[in-house]
Amino acid sequence: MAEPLLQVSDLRTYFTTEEGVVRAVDGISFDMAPGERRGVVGESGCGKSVTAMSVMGLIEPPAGQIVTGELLYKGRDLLKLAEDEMQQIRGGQIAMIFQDPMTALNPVYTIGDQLSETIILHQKVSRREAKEIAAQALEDVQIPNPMRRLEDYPHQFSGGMRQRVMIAMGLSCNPDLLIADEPTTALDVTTQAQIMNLMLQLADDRDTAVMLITHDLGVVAGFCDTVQVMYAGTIVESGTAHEIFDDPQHPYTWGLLGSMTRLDDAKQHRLHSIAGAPPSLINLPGGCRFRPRCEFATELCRNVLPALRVGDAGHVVACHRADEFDLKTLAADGTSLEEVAS
Amino acid sequence: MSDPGVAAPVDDDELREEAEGLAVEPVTQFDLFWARLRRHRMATIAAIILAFIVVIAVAAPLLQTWGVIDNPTTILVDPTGRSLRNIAPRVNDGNIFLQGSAGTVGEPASPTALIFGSDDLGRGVFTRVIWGGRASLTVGIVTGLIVASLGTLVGSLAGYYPGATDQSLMRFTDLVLGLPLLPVAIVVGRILPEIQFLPSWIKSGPIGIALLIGFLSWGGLGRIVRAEFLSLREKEYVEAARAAGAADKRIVFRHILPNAMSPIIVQTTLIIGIAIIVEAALSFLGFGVRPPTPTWGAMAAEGGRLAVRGFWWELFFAGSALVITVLAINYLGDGLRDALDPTQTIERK
Amino acid sequence: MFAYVTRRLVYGLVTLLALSMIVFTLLQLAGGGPLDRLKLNPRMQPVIQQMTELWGLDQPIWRQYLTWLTNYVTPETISLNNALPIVAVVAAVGVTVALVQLVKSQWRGMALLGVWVFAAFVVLRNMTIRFNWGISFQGKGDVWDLVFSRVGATFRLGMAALLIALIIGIPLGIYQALKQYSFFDQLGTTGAFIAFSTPIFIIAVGLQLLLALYFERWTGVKLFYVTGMNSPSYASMTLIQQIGDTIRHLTLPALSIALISLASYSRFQRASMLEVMHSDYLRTAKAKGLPRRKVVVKHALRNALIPIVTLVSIDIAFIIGGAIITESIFAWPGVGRLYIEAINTIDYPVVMAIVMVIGIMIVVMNLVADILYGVMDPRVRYE
Repeated sequence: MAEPLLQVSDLRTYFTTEEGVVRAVDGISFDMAPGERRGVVGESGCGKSVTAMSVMGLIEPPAGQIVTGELLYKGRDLLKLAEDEMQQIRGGQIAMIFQDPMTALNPVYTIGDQLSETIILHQKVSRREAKEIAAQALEDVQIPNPMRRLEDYPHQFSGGMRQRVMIAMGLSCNPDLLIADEPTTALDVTTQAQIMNLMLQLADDRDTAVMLITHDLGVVAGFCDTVQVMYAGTIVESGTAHEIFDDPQHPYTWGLLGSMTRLDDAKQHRLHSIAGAPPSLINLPGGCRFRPRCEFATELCRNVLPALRVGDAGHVVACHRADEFDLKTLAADGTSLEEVAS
Repeated sequence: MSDPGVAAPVDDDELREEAEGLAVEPVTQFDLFWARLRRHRMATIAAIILAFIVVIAVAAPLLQTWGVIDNPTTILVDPTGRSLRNIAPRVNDGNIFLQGSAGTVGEPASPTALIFGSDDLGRGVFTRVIWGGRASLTVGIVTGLIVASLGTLVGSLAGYYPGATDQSLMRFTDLVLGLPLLPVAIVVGRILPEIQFLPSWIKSGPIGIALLIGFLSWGGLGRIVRAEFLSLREKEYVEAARAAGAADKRIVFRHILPNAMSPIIVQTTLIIGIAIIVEAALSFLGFGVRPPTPTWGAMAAEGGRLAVRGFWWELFFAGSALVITVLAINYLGDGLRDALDPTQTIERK
Repeated sequence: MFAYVTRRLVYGLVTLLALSMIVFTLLQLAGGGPLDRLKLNPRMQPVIQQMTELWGLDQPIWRQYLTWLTNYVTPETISLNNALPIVAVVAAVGVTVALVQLVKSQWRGMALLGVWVFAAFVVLRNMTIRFNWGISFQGKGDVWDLVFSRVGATFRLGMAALLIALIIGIPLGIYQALKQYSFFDQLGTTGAFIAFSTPIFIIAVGLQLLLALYFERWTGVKLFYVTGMNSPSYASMTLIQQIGDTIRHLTLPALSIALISLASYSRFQRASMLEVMHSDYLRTAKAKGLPRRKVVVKHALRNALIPIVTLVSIDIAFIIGGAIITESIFAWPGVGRLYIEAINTIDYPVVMAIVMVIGIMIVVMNLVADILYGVMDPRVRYE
């Protein structure tokens, strides 16, 4: 494999609150290669967004702090950079777009102003040149009449178009990595598909690596090369999209997939829901964090936190009992989960 | 179950409950509100102080504090009891307020009457501060009631029945809002005692002033209530109620109004504080509650004149009473706002 | 935008009309009526007949009102002093057309506003206009002259109070928001609460006593004056002395009004700033790699300052009320004190004139605020 673009090692980001210390991200490690499209999935509160914010250096002290870890971007540790160096990377080499396009743009400045702002910041060009680049960026995201639209204000755009503008802004300086935090969650399904296709195409054209954060497995399936599943601040399973979807090893992943409807379901089966709720990130249960909700839990699971173990070449999973049974085969046989568990 | 190697389903009840995230026991909205309110330190202190003030004001007639010093040479005393001689006292025109019905000129002052000193007519400041409290609190509460009723009435109708009703009601509300409060209140306050056909308890008394202030300041609450009703009208549970055949009156009283209560309560509390200040200003200028009824504003005016000559106590105690009372009301209102609407996460107490 | 402004203007006029009717009627209710009041004052004896005819005081009330109204709104004389006003208006129109066609910048709105304000200023300074607002029933002379001789003083007081409140209050609120939960923040919040709970007259009298009267008694130094706008010997002072004299007279009354306004501006600005700081677009700005200072100044402040305009327009009513009270306490030669005197003696024409002036000022300020808001917040413009 070529030199990895991003190497995250044992990242821990904690937040200090009145009720205690929230361990939002508690020791995660993963790599991203140039051009890789990686999906980060999990329930709300599992640490996906915090991971992204940590990479971007947008965790605000004193409440939030990256306690330990190494964030190697092209060999440099982002956590050791001075703020102005980090500012150069933000937006220029690693860009991020957010969930709600309705509120992500400043209402009192034109789109043109906001686009040009980024461009001038990271590329040494004149105002006029920046404007041309901005117009080109709008055209790339398929907004008609780009030159005229530059003079418009955010409220004159629809939600889907605003998200396109956000994408344009993110890609305008040709970053190597684009982090997209739930980019389509706030949009309706048709727009969702359009936006994802657009992102796919753009990322392909420019060889931009994309970290796609979402809770929607359907979106991941259509877009990502690799997937990491997060739960309660840790990565519980990681691998290629094929591996995750076809051969889930972790009970949580299994539960997530089981709760989706799929067109290719061989047999009719009830949608499976995972009982319970994610744990409080302040008072984490000892041992495996998924244990209270896991049908397969044992004493060992209660006491020892499972580590990510390499399964089949690159497909890693954090579960003590992953080797014991092949969940996929069992399901295909029609064995119900209860039968498997007993 | 103790063999770690064997697949063991979770049958630990404690774990199950932990996983299911069961609530402990049902709590009512009121419990939640009350807990939040009590956590607000300043509001709790304010409420206690306010309760104290109200009790004293209500119990004034029972407090056995009255009296006037009727000795021209010792008429003006400071809180330590030291009388200031060589003061040319104001001419006593016999129209001295004592305590409404009991006590007369010549009756010696009770011990408590003079703990705050006396004014230059020999009247105990403490006594007058307590009785002034009655006037101020009456104005505050009555104004609050007027504003709450009028504002809610107009606002709810405008918010619930859109179209012509809404438009005309809001035009009217805007009109009332457009009237400058103090200048108009001054005019009304000035002429109120001279209007022939009004009963005397309106013409010269706190109720009259309360009516005046109330009818001029309900506009703000009206707008707020209208906004609340406009948005609450569109809620799904209202739609559901309508689909089930509920009559308008039921929908309003049972579904919408309870949810609109919090801004009404908060705003009314604040209005009470404002009313007390406005009444004090009017009395200060001489256009509010007329003498001989004591009122903090008028006492501040007299007290100011005395303070210029060095006799600070009437101004000080009347002024402090005003500030402390309104401060307590404002802190209470703030606490109520936080307790009733916990979604305001930006402010933390 | 244009339709919006026109609509607001109409509402304003209706409000003013209602105000005039209400106050007029109220004044009539006071024991007797204008005629009786007039007869009470021995000084007015000779002119009673004349005034009765002029003002229709023996007519039914609605007739009296209409007479008053007509006199109030129709200028007695109106003329231009020179050609400047015409030049100014033509120039303003020309500049407007040019700007709208040629310039697309967002500052265009501000520039237009400035141009028209300047033009209005030139027009007002170069024209003569006079209304017949009657004669004071207390023998103070022509009402128009009376009011306008006092307006300047009140304007000075009001402006000073407004400026003090803005210059101190807004940065205070912003700083409180940036340092939320700090001791400074909590101190500021407590101070604001106390300010809101203290009536103006208490502040005014308190300042008078502590910073002037008692201060002089304790230290022998006369720091501030407590009566009037200028000392009697003002005319013969040097410029420096004059400035000092003005400040020493203006400080306490202006401060009395400003302290409460200041508190409300700081609270408001704090809340506005906090809201902006938690906004999504600020997060986007940071994610773009903007330096923190630029994020705060260019993105946060620009948004946080927009609501100030509304607040000031609401505050005008408060400042006017405050001026009425403060002028009485400090014997300030302004319209407020005149109002109180007129109310005490029920001097009909003066009371009506001043109430309407106050009403007009409030309507105009609200209108200006609406326009300014439209200039500053593009979302409003396209309604």
